[in-house]
Amino acid sequence: MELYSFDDDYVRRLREGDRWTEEHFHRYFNELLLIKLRSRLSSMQAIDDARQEVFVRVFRTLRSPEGVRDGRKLGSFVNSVCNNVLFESYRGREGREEAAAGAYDQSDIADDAVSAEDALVTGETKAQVQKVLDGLDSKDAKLLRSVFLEERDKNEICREYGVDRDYLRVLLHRAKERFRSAFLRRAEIVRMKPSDTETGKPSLRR
Amino acid sequence: MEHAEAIDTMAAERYLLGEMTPEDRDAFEEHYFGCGACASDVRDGAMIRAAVRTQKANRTRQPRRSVREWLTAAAIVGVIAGIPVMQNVSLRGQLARARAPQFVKTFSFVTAGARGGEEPSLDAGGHPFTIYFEIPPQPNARRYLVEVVDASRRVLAKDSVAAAAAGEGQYLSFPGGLKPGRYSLEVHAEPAGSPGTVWSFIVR
Repeated sequence: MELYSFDDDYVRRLREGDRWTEEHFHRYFNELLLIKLRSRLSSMQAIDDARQEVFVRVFRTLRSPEGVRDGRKLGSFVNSVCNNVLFESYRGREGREEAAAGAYDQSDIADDAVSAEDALVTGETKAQVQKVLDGLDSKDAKLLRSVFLEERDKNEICREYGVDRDYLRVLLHRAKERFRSAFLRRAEIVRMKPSDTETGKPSLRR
Repeated sequence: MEHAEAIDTMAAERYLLGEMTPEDRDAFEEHYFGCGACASDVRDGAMIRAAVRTQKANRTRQPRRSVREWLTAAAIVGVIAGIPVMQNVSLRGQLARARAPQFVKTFSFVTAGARGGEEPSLDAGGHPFTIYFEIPPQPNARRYLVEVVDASRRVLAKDSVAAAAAGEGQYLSFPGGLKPGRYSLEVHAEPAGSPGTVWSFIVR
């Protein structure tokens, strides 16, 4: 939900280890990396390993003497590091499905990888999204569910519902816009809860 | 891919619906990682997709452990370490095994060098353990923020202690353990003053 432009000052703060900037950086790219990696890797473990590797490499480069020259291109840099990590992952798993020339169909994604994306929907956000889905016309809601849940050809699903692929895109766009309006009205901030993905939440006690 | 093209072609929707060729997908990723508006578009759409998927998952999966359950586990570890963490918390069946007293490893960072000292190596991968440490007092601190951060700088846990607690022993319990890897325990005073205290450690 957060619109953000990166610049040299942001990169400088990251290089200097400013913890608030680090936290923002992590939150911002963690979501994007989850979405991207989910479309390429088939297990939660592989996604998590790749995600961590991307962050480690990005920080290593940021803090090296060369650093990142143009702060405005930080996002592009993170994406290219992610591509390198994925490429190495494919090479390391030669012969496996992931390496199949970027074969890309959401229905191919294993449940385990799908759960990586669940981390995007937490607490209040989940309730908001749910309201949006509940507010959809029942046919539209069923259509979205079919598209995202059933392992069938999307054209076949569209034919069954008497719509075309454009309708599908518009439907998703509309749901997204409704969610955004509802979200802005409440003026809340979406925050990841990193500790939810761990095996147990550490607690500090005296 | 330019921003106008991404908007005109509904790139975010096509991306999430898996309708792009690998080339288009790569070009769009190159764009949205650096474009706040498109990144937001993708994230919002991914939330819708995830919510649709979890609607089904929620019907079939076991409920996730609640905060209360995790706190319960933390309490058990705390009691074992001699720390009254919490009382009167009802335990659920699936945590029954955790009721029984058990020994957990405790690692002391009191003598471990912070910032540049030798990294403690904790032989506790995947098992519950506790870290004992002391917060060096800092003048004018109102409270101390304590964080556990992994190698990718992801904050795994965050908590705070009152200023009066500085100089006293603190226990940090990990009821679910940590995966093998490199971590750091960081303490920062609020309002920010002198540099924080950082213990790097390795879980084996």
